[in-house]
Amino acid sequence: MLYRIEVYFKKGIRDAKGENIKKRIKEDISILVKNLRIIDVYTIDADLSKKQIDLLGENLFANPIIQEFSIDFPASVLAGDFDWLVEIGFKPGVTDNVAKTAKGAIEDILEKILNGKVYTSKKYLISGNLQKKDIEKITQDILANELIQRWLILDKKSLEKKNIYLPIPKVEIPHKPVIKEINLNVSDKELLRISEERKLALNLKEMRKIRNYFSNPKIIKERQKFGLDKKPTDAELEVLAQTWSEHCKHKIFNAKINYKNEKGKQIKINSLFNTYIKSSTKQLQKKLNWVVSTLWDNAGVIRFNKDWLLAIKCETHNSPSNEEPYGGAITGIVGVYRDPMGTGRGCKLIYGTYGFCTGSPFYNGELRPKLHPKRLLEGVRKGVEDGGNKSGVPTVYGITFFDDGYIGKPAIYVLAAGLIPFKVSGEPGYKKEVNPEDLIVMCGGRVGIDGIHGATESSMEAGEWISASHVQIGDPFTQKKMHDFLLEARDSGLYKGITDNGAGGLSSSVGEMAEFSNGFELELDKVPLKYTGLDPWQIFVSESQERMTLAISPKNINKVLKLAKKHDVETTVIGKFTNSGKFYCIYQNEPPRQKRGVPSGKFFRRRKKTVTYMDMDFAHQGVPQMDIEAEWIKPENRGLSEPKLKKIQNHTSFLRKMLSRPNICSKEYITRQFDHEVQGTSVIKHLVGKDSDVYSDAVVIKPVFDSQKAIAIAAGINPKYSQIDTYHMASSAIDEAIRRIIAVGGSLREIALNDNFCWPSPLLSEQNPDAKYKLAQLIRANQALYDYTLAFKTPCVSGKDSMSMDGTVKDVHGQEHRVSTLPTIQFSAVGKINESRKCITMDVKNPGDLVYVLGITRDELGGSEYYEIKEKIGLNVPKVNSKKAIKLYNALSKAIDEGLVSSAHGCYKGGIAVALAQISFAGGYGLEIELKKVPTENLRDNDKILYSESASRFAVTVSPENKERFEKMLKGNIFSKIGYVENNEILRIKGVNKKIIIQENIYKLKEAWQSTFKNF
Amino acid sequence: MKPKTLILYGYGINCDNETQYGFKLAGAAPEKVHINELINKEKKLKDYQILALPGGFSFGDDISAGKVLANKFKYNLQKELDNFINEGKLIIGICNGFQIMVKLGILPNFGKNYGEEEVTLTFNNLGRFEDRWVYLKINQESKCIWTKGLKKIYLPIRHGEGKFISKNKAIREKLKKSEQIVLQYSNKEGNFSSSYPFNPNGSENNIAGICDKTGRIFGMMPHPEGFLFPQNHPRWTREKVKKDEGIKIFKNAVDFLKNC
Repeated sequence: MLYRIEVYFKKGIRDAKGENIKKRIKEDISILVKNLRIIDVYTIDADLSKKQIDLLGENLFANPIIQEFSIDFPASVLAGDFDWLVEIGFKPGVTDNVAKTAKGAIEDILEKILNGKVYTSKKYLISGNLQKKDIEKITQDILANELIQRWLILDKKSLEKKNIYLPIPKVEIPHKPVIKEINLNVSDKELLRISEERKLALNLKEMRKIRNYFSNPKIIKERQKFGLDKKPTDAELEVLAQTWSEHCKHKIFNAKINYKNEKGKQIKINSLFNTYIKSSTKQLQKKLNWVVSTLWDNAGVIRFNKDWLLAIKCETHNSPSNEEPYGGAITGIVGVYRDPMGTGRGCKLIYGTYGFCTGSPFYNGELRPKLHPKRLLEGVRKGVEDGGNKSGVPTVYGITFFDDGYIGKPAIYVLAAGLIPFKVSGEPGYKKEVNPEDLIVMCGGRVGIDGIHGATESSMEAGEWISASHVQIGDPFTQKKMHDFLLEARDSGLYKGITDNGAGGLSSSVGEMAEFSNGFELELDKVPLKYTGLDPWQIFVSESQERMTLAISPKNINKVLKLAKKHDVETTVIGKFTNSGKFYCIYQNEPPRQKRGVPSGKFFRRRKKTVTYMDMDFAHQGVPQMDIEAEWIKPENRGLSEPKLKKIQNHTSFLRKMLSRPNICSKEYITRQFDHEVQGTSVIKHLVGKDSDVYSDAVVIKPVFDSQKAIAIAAGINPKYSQIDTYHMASSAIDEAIRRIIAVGGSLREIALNDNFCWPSPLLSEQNPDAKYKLAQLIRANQALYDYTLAFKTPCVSGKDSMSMDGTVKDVHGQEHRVSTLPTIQFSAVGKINESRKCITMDVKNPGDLVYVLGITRDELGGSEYYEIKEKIGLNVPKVNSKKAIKLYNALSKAIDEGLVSSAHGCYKGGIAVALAQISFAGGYGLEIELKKVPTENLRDNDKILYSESASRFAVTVSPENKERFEKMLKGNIFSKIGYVENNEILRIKGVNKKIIIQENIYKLKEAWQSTFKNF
Repeated sequence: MKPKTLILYGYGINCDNETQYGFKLAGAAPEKVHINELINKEKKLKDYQILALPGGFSFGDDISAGKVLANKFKYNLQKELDNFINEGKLIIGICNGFQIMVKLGILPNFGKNYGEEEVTLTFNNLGRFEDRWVYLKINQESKCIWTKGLKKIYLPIRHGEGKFISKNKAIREKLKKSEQIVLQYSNKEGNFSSSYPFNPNGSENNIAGICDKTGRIFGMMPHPEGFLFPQNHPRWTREKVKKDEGIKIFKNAVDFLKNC
C-alpha cells in the first residue's frame, strides 16, 4: 500500500525556510514571488493500516504545536492560496537520509520491522504573478538539481481536476549478477576502445601491461585452478583501473619528466613526489622527533603530548562539488573524517576546516556555468555545515577564495584532524597490524551503485531507475554512530587494522590492508547491499560512503558484533586476510540468506565463482611510469611587466573599496553557520575582537580537557601569484600558513603542513596545448615546497593532488569554452602551543599601546589586490626570504610567549592598509599611523607602502611598559614603531610627506568590510 | 557521595564528552550510557540521580529536531522515565536535549497534561543554524534548582531549531505565572531584548530555558558545557573572565542533591 503523509505549518506559523527561499529567488534570479510555503511529504510503501498511518502522522511526522498533516489528500488544497505547485523528490538510488531515519522511527512506534520503504519529497506552494517559465527557472536555479532530483510542476487549475503525484523513486534493477571475461588479445585500437568504453581511463601502455600479465603462461596455469583463464574478469580490469588511476597512484606526480628549466637547461626529474615532497618530509622526519608517521597512511601523524598523537588530512572534492555542490561537499567532509578515523589504530575527530575556491558569487560575465558560483558556494557551504555539525566535529576555520577561473571547476578543500592514543593496548597508536586469518569486517553503510565511476552507463540506458551514480549524498548520522562504535572498539583492543572505504571502495581498502598480511579472500556476496542486482565487480569497486573496513581476530568477532549492535551499526564479516600473495575474490550467485556474524565453517567449501585472482604485487606495483615534458616560460616572456598607475586620489574611499573586495571582506555568515565550538575545546575562535566578528589569523583549540597544550590551525593560499610565478605562489602560501600560526602564539618549533595541489591538467592534448608550461608551473611549485618546508622545518605530513582543474563551460551564445583554474595550492598548517593561556588575538586592546610593523615592505604588488582593482597583474611578485622570516618569527614567538605583545596580525592580501584597518575596528579603537616610519626597501610611494603584499610582515601592538623588552627581543630584525592606538574611533594615517591621507571612522571601515556579503 | 549522573550518548548526540567533563568538574560522578543499554536493561535509569540529555543532532535532526529520540524514550522507556521524575530526581536537557524534553512533554509539565506537547522548539526566524554567544537573564522568581544564585550568564547557542513557541495563549500565560521561565535572552546590559542577534531565534518572550513545576527538570537551548574554561569565552584575550561560569549550573545540581 502506498500512503502519502503531507505535513504543513498551521496558519499563522512562520515558515522561515520558505521565506528564505523566497528571498533567494528575488535576489539571485530577480523573480518576485508573493508567497512560498513548503510541505513535507513522506510516502510510505508498506502494508500498514490507515490507523497505523494516523498514529505515525500524529506521533512522528507532524509537530502538534505548529504543524498539521493530511493523509492521501493534498495539503495544498487545504492551504488554499497558491498559484503553482512544485513537487521535488530524489531520483532513484540517491541517498535519502531523512527517509532512512523515518523508517527506523516508524519501527520504534509500531514496534516491528517495517517491511517496506519510505520516501521523502517536498512540495512548494508558490503564489504570485508568475508564468510557467518563471516556475521552471525557480525550480532549476533555486529549488532542485536535476542530477539528483526530479520534479513535477502543476498550476492550481490542473491540480483541481485531479491529483497528480511524483512517482516514487523505487530502485529495481532487473538484472542477474554476472561475471564477464574480457578478451585483451586484440589490437591496440581495440584495447583503447575497451578502456574508453568501460571508462577505465587506462592508457595503451597500461592496457598492454595488463594484457601481458594475463597472457603469462605461469599466471594462466595458476588461474585455471580457480576457474579462470587468460582473459581477465570485468572485476579484475575495474580493480586495476581503480588502483592504477591518477587518483590513487598520482601518476603525474610520479612521472619521469624532461624539464627545460628557467635557465633553458634540460634536466630530468624522476618523480616530483619523491624528489621534492617525500624527500623534504623524510629529511625533516629524521631531524624532528615530533614527526611520527608520514606519507603512507590515510593521514599524517605528529606527536601532541605524551599520551596523544595528532593525525591530519586535507582532501579536495572538486568534481562532485561542481556537479552537486551540497552532495559533493557533504560527501567530501564526511569522507575526509574517515581518513583520520582510519589512520593507525583510528582517531577521535577533533576538528575540521574548509576551503572554498569558486568563481565570484557576483559573477556577471559571458559564461553560463550550469550552476552560478553563488549557488555553488551556498551548496558547498551547506554541505560542510550539515556534514560537520551533524558529526559533532567543530568546523573551526576555513577560507574562501574567488577567481573566475574556478567557474570551470571549483577547488573545494576539506580537512579533518583527530587524536589517537600514543599507545593502544600497549602498542604504538600510529601502527596497524593485519594478520593472516584475521577476518575482513565491513561496518557502517550499505553498498549501492553509488560512486561507480561512470561504469553504469549501460544500465542507464535501460531507464530512469539509476540516477547519475557518481553523485552521492553523505550521511553524517550513520557515520557518527559508526565513529562512536569504532572508538569503543579501539579502546577495548578489539581490532588492530582499520582503514576507510573511499575511492575504489572495498577493492582499495581491503587491497591496502592486505598488503600487511600479503593477501586476502573476499566473499562479495556477503557484502550488505542497498538493493539487489549489482554485479560482483560493482560491489567490489562501489564507493558507497560511511564504511570502514576492519581486520579482526576471530577470537574478538563476537565482542565486536555485540558492540556494533549497541551502537546500531551494521557490521558484517565479508572474508579473511591471508598470506597467499593473492588478490582473491569470490561470489556465489544465489547468496545464502544473510546471516550477520561469523561465516559458517562450511563457507569456503560451498559452490562459488572466482571474481578476481591476481598477484598482490601486480595490482599494487604494476602501474607503468609515465613520461612527460615540461618547459618553463619566464613571466617577462609571457608579456608581464610592472604597470605605471595613476596615484590614488582619495585614499579613504579607496581603502573602503579595498576592504569590501570579495577576497578581503567578511564572510561571517559562513563562520556562524558552522558549529565551531562543539566538544568544548575552543580557545581562539575564528571570529574575535570587541564584537567577536573579525577574523583571527588562526584558531586555537585545546583538545584534551586536562591539559593546557593547544594547537593552532590555519591555512595559506594565494593562487593569484601563479599568474606570475608558481614558485613564489607556493612559497607565499607556505609563509602565510606559518605566519598565521605565529601570530596567535605558535612557534616554528612545531608546525606541520598539509599540501593540497589543485592543478589544471599538465598532460598534452589538442584542447590543452600549453601543457608543458603547466607542468613546469607544477615543478616550480614543488621546488618551492621543497626549499621552504626544509628552511622553515615545517614538514608536509600529508597531502593530495587533484590534477584536472579544467572544465568546459558554455557562454551566452552557446559556444563552449575550456576554462582552467589558476594553479592552486592550499597549505594547511597546525602548530603546537604549550600553554593555551598565552595565546593572543589580532584586535588592538588598549589606547596608548604602540603600533609596530615587523618585516620589510618592498615594491611587490605583482598579483596583488591593488593591481587587480586596476586590472593589472604586474611582475614583482612577493618573494619570501626564509632566513629573515625565521629570525623574525622566532623573535615574535618569544615575545608573545613572554606576554609582551597585546595583539599581532599578519599583513596578507591588501597589505598594511587592510591589516591596520582590521586590527583597529576589531579592537574598537582608532590608530594614529605614520607611513614614513614603515620599514621599506627604498619605497616612497604611499600607494605601494599601503598595498604591497610583501611576505613575512606583521602589524603588532605593544603596551608602553613592554616597549623596551619587546624591542630588545626583536633586535636584529627589521621592524619599526609606526604609531599608537588612540582612545577614539578614527583610523588616521599620515603619508610619507606627513600629510594625512586616510582619516575615517573605524566603524565606517568595518561597515565596508562587512557590506559585501551582508545579504547572504 | 558524588551524585551518579547518566550522560546519554549515541545516535548522533555530540556534546556528551564535554557535558560529562562539566559534571565531573562540578563534583558529580558522570557516566556515559547509550540508550540501547537502557532499552536492553544492561543499565538502569533508577541507578542514577541525574539524567543529562546533551546537545547534538540525534538522528540527524531528521523529521523534527529531537523527535525521533523522544519517541525512542516514549515507546521503550516511558515507565522508567516516569519513575525517575516521580522520585524527585534531576534532569537537564541542553539544546537537542531540551528539544527532546519538550517533544516528550516532560517540559513544561504543569501537572495535568504531563506527557503532552504544550510548547515546542522550531526553526529559528532566520531559517538557519547559528553559533554565537548570547546574554541570558535568569528569572529570580523561578524555582529552578539549576540556576540558583545566578543572575545572568553568557553562553553560546548552536542551533537551527531553537525558537520557543507555546501551543496557545493559555500555556504562554501559565508559563509566566508559574515562574517556569528560567532563562531569557537579553542584551549586554541585561535588559530583555527581542531583537536579533540578542534574541537569536525569535523565541516568544525571549525564552531560552524553562523548568517544570518542581524546578528539578530543566531544559535550555544555550550550552553551559560550552564554557568549561575561561578560554572558551570569545573575548578572554581582552576581558577579565570569571572561572567556572558554565559549570555553576552543574554545580547547583550537585549541591542540591548533597543538601537533600
